[in-house]
Amino acid sequence: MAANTFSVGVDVGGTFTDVVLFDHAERRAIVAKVPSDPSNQSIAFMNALTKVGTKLNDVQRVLHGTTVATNAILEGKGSRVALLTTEGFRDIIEIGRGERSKLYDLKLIKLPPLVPRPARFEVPERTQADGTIGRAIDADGVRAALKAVDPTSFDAWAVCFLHAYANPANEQAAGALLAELAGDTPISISSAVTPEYREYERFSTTVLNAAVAPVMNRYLGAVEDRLDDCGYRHPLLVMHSSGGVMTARAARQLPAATILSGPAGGVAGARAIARDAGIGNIITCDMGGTSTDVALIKDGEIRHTTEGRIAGYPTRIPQVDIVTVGAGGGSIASVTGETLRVGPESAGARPGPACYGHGGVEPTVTDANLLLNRLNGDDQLSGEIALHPDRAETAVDRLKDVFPDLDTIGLAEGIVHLATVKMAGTIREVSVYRGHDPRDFVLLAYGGAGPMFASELASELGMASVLIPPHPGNLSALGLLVSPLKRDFVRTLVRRLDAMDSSELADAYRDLQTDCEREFEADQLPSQDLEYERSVDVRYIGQSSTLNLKCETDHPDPVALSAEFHSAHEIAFSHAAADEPVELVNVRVSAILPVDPLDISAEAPTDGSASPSGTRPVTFRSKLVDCPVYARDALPVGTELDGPLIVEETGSTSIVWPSDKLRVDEWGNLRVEVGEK
Amino acid sequence: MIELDPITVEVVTERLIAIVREMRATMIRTAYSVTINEMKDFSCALFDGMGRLVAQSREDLPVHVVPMPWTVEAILETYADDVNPGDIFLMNDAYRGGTHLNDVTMLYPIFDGDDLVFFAANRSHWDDVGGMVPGSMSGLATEILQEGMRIPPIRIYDQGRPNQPILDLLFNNMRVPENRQGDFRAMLSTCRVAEQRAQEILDRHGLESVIACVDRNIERTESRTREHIRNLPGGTYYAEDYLEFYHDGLFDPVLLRLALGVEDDTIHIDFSGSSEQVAGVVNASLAVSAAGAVIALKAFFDPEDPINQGIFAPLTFTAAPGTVVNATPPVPCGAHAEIRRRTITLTAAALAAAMPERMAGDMQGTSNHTLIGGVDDRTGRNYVFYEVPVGGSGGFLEHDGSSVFGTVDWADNQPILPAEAIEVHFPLEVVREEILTDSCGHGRHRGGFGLQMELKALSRQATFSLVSDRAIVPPFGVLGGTSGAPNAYGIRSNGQVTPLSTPGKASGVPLSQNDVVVACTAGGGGYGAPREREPNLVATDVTDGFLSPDIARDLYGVAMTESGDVDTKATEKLRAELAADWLDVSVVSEDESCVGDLGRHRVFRVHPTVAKKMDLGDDDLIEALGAVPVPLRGWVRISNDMPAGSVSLDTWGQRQLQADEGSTVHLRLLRRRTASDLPLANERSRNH
Repeated sequence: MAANTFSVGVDVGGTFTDVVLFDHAERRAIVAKVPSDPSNQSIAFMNALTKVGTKLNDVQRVLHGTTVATNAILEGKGSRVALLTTEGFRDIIEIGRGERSKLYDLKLIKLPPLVPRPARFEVPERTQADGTIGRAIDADGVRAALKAVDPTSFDAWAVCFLHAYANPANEQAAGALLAELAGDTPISISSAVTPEYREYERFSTTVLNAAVAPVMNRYLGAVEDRLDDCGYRHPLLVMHSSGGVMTARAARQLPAATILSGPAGGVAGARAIARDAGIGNIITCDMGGTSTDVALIKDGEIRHTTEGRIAGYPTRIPQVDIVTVGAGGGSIASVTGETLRVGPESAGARPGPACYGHGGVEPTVTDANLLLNRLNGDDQLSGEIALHPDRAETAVDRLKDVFPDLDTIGLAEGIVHLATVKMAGTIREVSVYRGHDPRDFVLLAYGGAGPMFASELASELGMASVLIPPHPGNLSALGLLVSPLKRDFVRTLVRRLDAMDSSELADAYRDLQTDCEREFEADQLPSQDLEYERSVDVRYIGQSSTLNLKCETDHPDPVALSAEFHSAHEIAFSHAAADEPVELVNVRVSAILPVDPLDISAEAPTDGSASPSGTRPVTFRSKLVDCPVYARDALPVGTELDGPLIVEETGSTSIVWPSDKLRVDEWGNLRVEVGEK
Repeated sequence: MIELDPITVEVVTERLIAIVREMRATMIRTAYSVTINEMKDFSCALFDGMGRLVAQSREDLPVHVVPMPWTVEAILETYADDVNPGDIFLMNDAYRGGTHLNDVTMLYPIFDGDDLVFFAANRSHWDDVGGMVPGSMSGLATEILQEGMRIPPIRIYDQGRPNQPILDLLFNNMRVPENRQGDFRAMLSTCRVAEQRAQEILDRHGLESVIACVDRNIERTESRTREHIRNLPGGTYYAEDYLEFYHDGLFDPVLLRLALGVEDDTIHIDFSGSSEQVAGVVNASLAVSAAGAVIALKAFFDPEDPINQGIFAPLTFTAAPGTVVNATPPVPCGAHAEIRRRTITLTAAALAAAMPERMAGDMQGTSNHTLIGGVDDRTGRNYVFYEVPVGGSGGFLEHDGSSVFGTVDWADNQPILPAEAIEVHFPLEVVREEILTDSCGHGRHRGGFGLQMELKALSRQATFSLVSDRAIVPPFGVLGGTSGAPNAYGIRSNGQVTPLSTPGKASGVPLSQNDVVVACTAGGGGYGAPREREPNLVATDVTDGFLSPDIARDLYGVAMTESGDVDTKATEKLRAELAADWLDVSVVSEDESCVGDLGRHRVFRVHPTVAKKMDLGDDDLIEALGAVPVPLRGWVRISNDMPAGSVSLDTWGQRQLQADEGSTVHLRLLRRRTASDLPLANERSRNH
């Protein structure tokens, strides 16, 4: 890459917008935080760029993690979508799969349908399961279906036909007819959004995509205009849920793929940090104000899934396998009966924890940490918010009504302990419950609150080692910089492998590769440099979930895949059934345009010796212990210290417990060897 | 007594629940059968050394876990003083704390040194346990021997040594024994995981502290439960209901009865008066019947948290042996789930008199086991398609019921298969899958709508079988709300739909190519009187096409303008003139109102003038509404012996409706008897 070029990553979160500017020539990162503006993310976006003080005409890549689509769905502010669907199936979007989330609740209510019934229109058409067109679309049928409605009166359209994954012809024909009638109204077509079988999940994904298309289109347009005004001459790149970036053009087509934009950036950043540090197995723990995101990386590989859910609605778009729990700094401690609970209710950014002094009165995890002095009461969180320990105390003392035998500090410790136990449960979910022993992993903690909990959390799970990267509050933005351009394509092809001609698989891969090339060419990106990752989803006939097998070639042998599946099944589930027939379900390709690796963590001072900036008494297991406090940027590489101690930096505090050992590795990561608690 | 702080109680409780969750995850990863690792038809739990339920996860199915304390009791009754490290117990006895024979329970003691601290428990549905048909479940079974191996509590491992001859005996009598062995090993690994994790917790917190936390946790659940009970007005509450049953060309519904006695902070549930057990699959153990009651109590008192033994402590149960709710050999128990569904409904119905604000309209009341099988012309192979389509849930105080939604007795499986998956795997075309217009029970808050699903047989040879219920006696509405539509299946051939001759039941009905099975699932019962419904909500249902304008006008008294808005003035007028959909009659006592052959059902004797006013004929199904939220159902018998304007009601009926001799009840028509109905089992009654 040419000298004096820069990349910028901007990650918009609920409370703060993080930015990282990377100078490729100096190999130096500048990070900053500005408050987010939930009403208009593009303002914080531009403020963040201003804050790191860059000229955009020097910038090669602007990469963006956004929650615009996510928030629109979570807050129910998506657009009014109309649905065009197969005759007899307009209610699929409301029927769903019938499952319930609470086992004993007589008064449980189903999620409201994503499209109200009057906005569902049926057309006579049919594609068979094998892709044969049973009844072709005809223009009169479409017009008749829409005769009582003005197609431009909706914000967006979703076209969802049965078996369109097997043959998109009817959907495409209907989409084209609809486009003539609906003018500029954006249209999402299920076979283009996620050509996987299972109609409810595909329809839901497509409608969600349609619902956020208008808002995403407006937002990206605004950002692009501002970037253009400032002299940026390259495509704006948007992080998507599966851990790569795509152009803003593509993000407008597939906004549903940005639902995990921010968290995926964090996992990508964590992987890059771990790779540099020579660690293959990590569990990432990104703890923020309202929730904690956890993911597992094994042998350097990020785990993916297509079974996502947002606001309860299923999505079927490839995403990093992240599990979220409602436990964060703002999680509220409350009492039901005699039971003390932490979360899932959160004080959020406003009013926030009681100690913020913005009117919060419920005790939160952050209040507890402040009372234990783990959080610095004299300092200001990220320089933005003044803290009020007296309000934290009043809030926590409210619990004494129920627990008169506990003092304030005892209650505060209890709150932190329970939050830790809850997060540990989530880590078990991505590790133990999927057959991985967390003791074989390093805990990589980031987000504003992650470093404060890391050691205690590791102990809870028997994990021996913790890594806290530089700029732990900005890792999602940092992760943007290391993320390649990547697009994921899938085709459902339900076939018994033993009855399959190998040319059928090769054909599918050729088609998918053509789709990839077409997409990259549409962005004027060099499709000849693409690297392809191919895989198949396979299962035993009768199973409903599948295993994903990587394919090394574009013409895998079905017989060999069968054999491979038996052994993969043996590894994953401790048994295999060699005589049972194996069934192909999906064929997948990811096309990747690699980026040069960035040396993003080489900025800790390399000389000098560490000396504390002061001490403060911190409560550990009911004992008050004097802790030296170090500034992060005053800890040179190679530093080795015994706990207890505290490391402070902008936006984050790391707690090293008594009997823990701290080392600063050559990349500036804090490495904590976790001792007995 | 050890000092216990509330934080430690929470932490230990969380960690014990984490053990059960890890057992679940292990089971899913290691089990052989799709039933377990895909359909999740299994549950895990942790019991303490005394056999008290300590922990379950939020995912463990009530249908498995709630009866488990009875299972553990049965095992401990047999082996009480003789439980040693390395022992493992196995059982599936449907009469002694089991469910149906396919559900096999493993109990694994966990010791801390010499102290028996916990039992890990795993109940899993085995795909086959022997018996007359592959899969062991047949709607045609008449004795339990046809349903497979009945395993009493046995010590399958004795201090670490497997009892190989017994294991061989079991597996030799089951189909695909290698898969059963695989599932058995998977169950074993879940228990070993639990043992290891429990040991870690014991090492960390110490035995005394762990036991104290377990005690505390159970105690506080118990005291919360007792507090809920103490808040109920004391007294006894009654409910009766039916399971639909045919034999020898007769419709002879099985009667289920429940009296729920509230005294201080205890509840006694008495199933006396329920029908004698039948030589068919609708029988269950007391464990299953009582579990239904516990599930309903949980739903009324505290639906959020997982269950532990504390909820059972204030409860006692009585059921006469040899009845459908407390089966004894040799009757089959394959459809135990239908009994459980009904005891959930009965308990809720009885509680509704005391806590009407917690009650919801009734639910579909059956699994709707739908089977289509035959030869797939494309492959020449046999296929069996199996689906359990759901209906609507009931309306309640705060909200309408939900349409096509797993009800409380469903657990969290996914009862609607994707049409695309059906068409990929079976020679069937899904012609239509739609929310069924007008199928809800009407009310201030209406029930959810049922589902209309149409399946066309594409191959030349197929048969259709069905085990359903609530096909004649529909899900009830409460507080004046109307019934949901019943579950209704028919077969469309050449454009003509023929309903089943025995509604709800079919066995091997032949389907010709292109015949369509039309499945309509029940709607949920309504809550409150339809005329009290917010008119705008009625208009929205009409606009959405879920409700016909006629019903909006005639039942809800809502008039609409051309544009689909509420015509306020016309609506006021309509509602003022709206005729009641019931007739007021006065109660005349009689000794016994129930008759039947093998089953029993209630007969409402009415004077011809009543019949005339309501346009009733003999054997029409009606309901009586009294002072309690839930109606009483029975069949009409026109009798000149009755005084004009009256209905006959025995002591039970009067108690249930809280309507004495001479007081007024409302009668409402539910279902008119048709010429194609089988005769009701009146004449050969043993109870008359």
